[in-house]
Amino acid sequence: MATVFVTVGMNQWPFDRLLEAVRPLCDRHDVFAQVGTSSVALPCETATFIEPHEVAQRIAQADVVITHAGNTVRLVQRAGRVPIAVAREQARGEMGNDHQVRYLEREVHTGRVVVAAGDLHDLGDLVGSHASTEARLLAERAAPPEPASADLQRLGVGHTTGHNPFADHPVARYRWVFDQLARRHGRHLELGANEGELLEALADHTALEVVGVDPMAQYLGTLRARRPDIAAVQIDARQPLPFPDATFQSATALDVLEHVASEDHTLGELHRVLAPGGLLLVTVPAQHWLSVLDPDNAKLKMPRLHAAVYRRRFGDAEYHRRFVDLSDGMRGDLAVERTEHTNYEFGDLQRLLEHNGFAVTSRDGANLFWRFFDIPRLLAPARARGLFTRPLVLDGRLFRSANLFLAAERLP
Amino acid sequence: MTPTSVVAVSSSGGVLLDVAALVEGLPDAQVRWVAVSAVDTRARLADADVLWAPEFRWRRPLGVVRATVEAWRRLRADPPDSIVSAGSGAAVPWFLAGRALGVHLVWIETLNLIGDQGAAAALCSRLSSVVVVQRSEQLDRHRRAVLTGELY
Repeated sequence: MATVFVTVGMNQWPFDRLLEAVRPLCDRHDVFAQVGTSSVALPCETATFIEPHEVAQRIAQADVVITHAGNTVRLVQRAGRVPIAVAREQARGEMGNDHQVRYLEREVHTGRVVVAAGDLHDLGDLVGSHASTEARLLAERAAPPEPASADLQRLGVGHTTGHNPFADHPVARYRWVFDQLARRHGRHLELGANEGELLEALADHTALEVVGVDPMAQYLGTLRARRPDIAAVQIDARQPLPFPDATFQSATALDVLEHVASEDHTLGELHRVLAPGGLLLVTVPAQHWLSVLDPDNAKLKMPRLHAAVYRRRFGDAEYHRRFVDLSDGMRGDLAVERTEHTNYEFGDLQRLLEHNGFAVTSRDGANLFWRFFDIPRLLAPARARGLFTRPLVLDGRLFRSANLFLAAERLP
Repeated sequence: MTPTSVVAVSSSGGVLLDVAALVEGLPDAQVRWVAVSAVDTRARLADADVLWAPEFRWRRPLGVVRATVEAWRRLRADPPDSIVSAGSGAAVPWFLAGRALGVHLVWIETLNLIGDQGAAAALCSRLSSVVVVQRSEQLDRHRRAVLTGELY
């Protein structure tokens, strides 16, 4: 005879199918059933609802716990036990959806759980063999992960970082990156530092010790002239980064991956120079319904039109330097090997990061129409650029489609 | 420093465990609860500041309108810094009113949600400022989400 605890949870839906299947067990075992709103009369001790402390007590004392596939599954697993779980089914009027069915379909392959389904005729056999099944599953399958204590500041709950120098900046990714880094310290690498606008803010408003790298000497020259106190290093994007392993506690690659010859090489290098547990922030253009109009692909898809516009705005010499002389491996700001300015799906970028030893910890996004404001802004005379700033800020706040922002932890 | 104020909205079961786990991470916060009356919510929130609320039903839209107006009135009278919920129907009026008033909204996706969300969860997560997810595969369905790991 086993001590059996049956629970159908706290919700208002009846679960007669499970309780009817429990009925024969009452003759053979010491059964206590929490029956909720079900009308099934069982020949054993029952209660409509019981308080949480009693649930915990009965889980600890029972030889077998039979439960609906709600949160009790995890509570039993956390107690070092293996529940027999039955999913409530919408078609049988046991719940308003099939979330429990899908949960057990996933959990049955990897979790410490025994799943009973259908008419539950085998419930008695499962109870009879549960001691050996439980011992096997406890030996073969991993315990559920320990509960996490959420970093509430990451969620914007509680007292957050306060001032963000990019609050009204037209480039939304700077605002997001600053929020992620504001409370951090240690060495920070910005890959693709450009002229160093973000690095300056990080150097001035955070405890980070910043280093910027970029393949473009022109950009770094501007940064060095303005801020000689910030370390700026020119790199060859095809070569390893000029830093020892585990040099940095955080790194940013903002709108970089879609430009490089090999994302795996770039992410592999970032993994190498980041310390285990380090934070990587990546932003890329996102695949969305306006991606087909991405103006950054114009240089590849409409080279004559691009050449005409670029030459008119920046002159023949600059066009030749950036788009005809490819000796530095770059066509403009794209690696010559690159056949498109990639717009990424979240899942593809997540897999790319995981493949290179990172685990994604958060995602965000911004903008929808920004390129249609940003490209004219870049081409416009300096005195007219301010006209585009407000629409860009608004676009960044209202939408989350055109740019994808990911934070990832560097795994050991 | 003024203590942060949070309105925590919850029905019973795993939702309550999720919301309670999150707000217990704010020991200095002023937490007001809006909860669906059930054995577990009554036991767990016995000493808390609680407004007991009905579970929202799509087939009673007028009830939602009335509840949203009531939520808006309460939030406007005493605006919180954040509203936190994991579900489900009870959260809808508070997230609609909170969004209208510019309150920071945190939606927790429950651990055992695989596949499509219900209508209330889909609406609240769309309205929210950030979605808390407990498994990495849940990141795929929200444009702004933070992976915390399992909360309880």
